[in-house]
Amino acid sequence: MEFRIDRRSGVAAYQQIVQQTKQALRLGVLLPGDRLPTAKEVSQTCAVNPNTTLKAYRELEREGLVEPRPGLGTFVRRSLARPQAGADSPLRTELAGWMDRAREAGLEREDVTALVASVLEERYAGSTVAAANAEALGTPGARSTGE
Amino acid sequence: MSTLTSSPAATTATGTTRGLRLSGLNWLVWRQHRAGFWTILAATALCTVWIVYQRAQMTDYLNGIGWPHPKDENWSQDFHKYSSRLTSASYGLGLIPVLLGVFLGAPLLASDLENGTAKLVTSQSVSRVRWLTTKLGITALVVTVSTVALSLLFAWWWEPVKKENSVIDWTSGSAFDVTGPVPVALTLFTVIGGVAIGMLLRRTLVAMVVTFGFATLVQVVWGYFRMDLGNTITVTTHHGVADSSFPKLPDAAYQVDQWFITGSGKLLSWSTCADEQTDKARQACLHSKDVVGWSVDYLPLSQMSSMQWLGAGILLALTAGVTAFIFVWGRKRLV
Amino acid sequence: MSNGMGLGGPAVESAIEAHGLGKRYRRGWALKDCSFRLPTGRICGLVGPNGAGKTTLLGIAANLLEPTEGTLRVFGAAPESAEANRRGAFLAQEKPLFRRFTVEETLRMGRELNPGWDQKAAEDIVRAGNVPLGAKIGTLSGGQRTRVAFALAFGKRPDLLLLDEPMSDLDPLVRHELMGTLMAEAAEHGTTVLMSSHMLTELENVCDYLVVIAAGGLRLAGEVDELLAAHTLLTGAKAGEGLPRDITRHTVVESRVSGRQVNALVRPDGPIDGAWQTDTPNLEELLLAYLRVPDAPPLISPSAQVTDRAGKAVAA
Repeated sequence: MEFRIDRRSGVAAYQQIVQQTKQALRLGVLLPGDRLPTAKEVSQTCAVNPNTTLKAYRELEREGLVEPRPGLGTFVRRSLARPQAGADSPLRTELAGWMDRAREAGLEREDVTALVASVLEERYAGSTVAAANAEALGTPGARSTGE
Repeated sequence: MSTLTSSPAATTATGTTRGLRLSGLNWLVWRQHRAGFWTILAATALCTVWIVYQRAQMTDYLNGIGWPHPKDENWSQDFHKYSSRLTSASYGLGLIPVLLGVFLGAPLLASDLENGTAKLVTSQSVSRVRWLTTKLGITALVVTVSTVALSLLFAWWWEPVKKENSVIDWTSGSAFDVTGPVPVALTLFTVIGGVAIGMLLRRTLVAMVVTFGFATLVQVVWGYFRMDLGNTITVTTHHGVADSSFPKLPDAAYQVDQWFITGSGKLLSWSTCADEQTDKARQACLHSKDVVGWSVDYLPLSQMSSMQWLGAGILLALTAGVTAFIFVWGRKRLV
Repeated sequence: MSNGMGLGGPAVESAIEAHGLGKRYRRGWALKDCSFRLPTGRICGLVGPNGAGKTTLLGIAANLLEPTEGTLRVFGAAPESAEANRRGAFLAQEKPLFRRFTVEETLRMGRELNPGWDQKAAEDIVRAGNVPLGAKIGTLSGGQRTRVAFALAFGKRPDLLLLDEPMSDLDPLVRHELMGTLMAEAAEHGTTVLMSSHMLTELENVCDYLVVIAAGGLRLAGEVDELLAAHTLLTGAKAGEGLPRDITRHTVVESRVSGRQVNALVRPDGPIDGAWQTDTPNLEELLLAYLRVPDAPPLISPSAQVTDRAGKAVAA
C-alpha cells in the first residue's frame, strides 16, 4: 500500500491518507490483519511530516478501522469491502447494463457522471454528502474564536 | 584522541587509535593540508641529502689543500665553486620564511573562511578554539621540524669555513638568518602572520599577496636591525693613526665603526685632515687636533649565537602575540 | 488574541527559546526583538522574504553568530556550550564540504569529530543516492553533494537539525527524495527540525510548526493547525465606501477590494456577521498574506510563547 499525496488538491494531507486508506479498504486492497505503512515509510515515499500520517491513523483508529499494535505497527481491523458491491454482485451487473444503455443512447462520459452525481445527491441527501463536507472543512474544535 | 570520549550508545564504528594512526582533529587537519605538509617534509628530506653530499665534496677539497692552513695561496680561486654552492644554498634557505608564509600561512584559515568549510568544521562537535589549536599546532610543528633540520644542516655545512669572511660574512643574512634559531623564528613569525592576515581578509588569493608584502617587509626590517642585537666592543690604540697601527681585530669580526681618538678621549671622524694636500701637512693637522690613535667598534663572531637567540626570542614573542590575537579574534568570528 | 488556548506554561521541553533576540550589522538590524519557543519534536518552517533575518536566526542558533541583544537557548543551553554544539547540527545554505576529500573521508570526518556518530545512518543516506563512497566531493553533482552534506548532518544524530534553504538548488526529484529522507529520519528519531525556505509549497505537508519573520521581526509562530484555524478567508460584496464594519471589527491581516468584491484574511475576534463566504486558508495563502503585509499584527500561538522571568507570557 502506498499513498499518493496531491499537494495541489486543496485537501489536507492527512485527509488524503484517510480517504486513500478507506478506498483501499473498500476495494479489498487492504484486508483485516494487513499492516499499514509506518509513519517513517510514508514520510520517506511521500515527503510528508510523520505527524500527518499519525494523525490520519488516529482518525482511522477512532472510526474503528485500524488498530495500533505497540512496537509492530498499525493493522487493519475490518474491511469496508461489501459483498453487495463486489465485482460479480447483481448490483454491479445492473449498473454496468445501465451504462451500456446510456452509451447506446449517445450519452458522453460527462453526461453520465453528471447524471449519476445528481441521482446520488438526491438519494443520499443528508448523509454521505454532509459528512464529506464536514470532513473537508476540517475539525473546527481547535479554532480560537473564544472571546 | 577525541573519539574515545564518546557515549557508548550508537557508536557503530568509532575510530580506534592504533599505533600512529591519527584521529579526531589531528586526522582532519593533517588530511586537509597533507599535500602542503608532505611537500614541505619531502623538500626538507631532499635538501638534507643534497647538503650531506655537498658538504662531503667540500670537505674532501679542503682536506686536500690542508685546511685550515692551505698550502696554496690561491686556494680561494679553486674553492670558489664550493663556496658559490654554499652561498646560493643560503639564499635559497633565506626564501623559506616568505615561501611558507605565502603558501602555507596565508591560505591556512583564509581558504576555510572563503569556502565555508570553517562553518562545516565548527558545526561538528568540536569547539573553535580546539580546531584553531590543532590547526596552528600541527602547522607550527611541521614548520619547526623542517626549519630546525635545515638550520642545523646548513650550520654544519658552513662550519669548516665559518671564520673565513670571504666565503660568507657571518653578519650577512646568508649566514645569520639561516643558522641557529633565526630561520625557525623568522619562518614561524611569517607563517603565523600570514595566518592572521588570511583570517582577517578571508580571501585566499588576496591574503597570499598581502602576506608576500608582509614577509618582504619582515625581511627588510629584520635586515636593518639585525646588527643592533649585539653589544659592540670598542678597542682603542695610542700609537698614531698610520695604516700599520690599526688595531688587530679577531678573525671574522664585524667592524661597526672606526674613529680617531684624541688625547682627551674625544672621537673624531676618521676623515679628519684627509683634505690636506701633503702627508706632512696632514701629520701637522692631526697633531694640532691631538689625535693619538684609533677607536674601533666591532662585533666578534663569538657574539653571533647570543645575537641570534636574542633576535629569535623577540621574533617568537611577536609570534606569540599574533597567535594570541588569532585566538581572541577567531574564537568568535571564525565562521 | 488567541486567548483561551493556552493552558498554563509550556509542558514540552523547548528545542529553541529566544528572548528579545536581536542582531545588528553595520547596515542595520537584521533581527529585532524576537521572542518565541520551538517545542521539541516539531518540524518547523522558518519563512520570510530574502534578507528577513532567517539565516541570521539560524546562525545564532548554530553558534556562528553572536546576538547583539537578547538570548537564545538550545535545549536550555547557550549556543556556544558544548552541549548545544553536540545536540545540534547545522547545514548551511551553500553546503560547504572539503572538495578534495572523498565521500568516505567526509563521513570519516563526521566519525572523528562527533561522539555519537552513526556511521550506518550516514552511509545509508549516501548509498540511497547511489553516491560512490570513493568519489571526490569536487566531482559530485549538486544533488549528490547535498546528499553527502545531509548524511554528515544526520550521522551526528542531532536532536535539533538547523537547515538553511536545504533544497534550494536541487531538481524536483532529488528534492522530493531528500525531503522524504529528512522526514523519515525525523520520524524515526524524533528530531526537531528548523528549516528555512522560501518555497511555500515545499513546506506544506512537511511542517507542523511555523515561524515567520519579515523585516527582522517575528510575524507568526506556532502550530500550523492552530495558525490556520485562527484565520478565516472572507469573500463577499461590499456596500459603502471602505471596508465593511463586519470585517474591520476583526483583526484584518490583508484585504483586497476589486470592484464590488471584497477578499479579506482576518483573525476573527468573535462570530462572523453578515453574508460572507468563509473559508479556512491553506498554508500558502496564509504565508503569502503575511509576507505581502509585513506590518500585519503578529500572532504567536501559546505553545510558541516564552515566559519571562516573572513567569508571565511575553507576547510580541
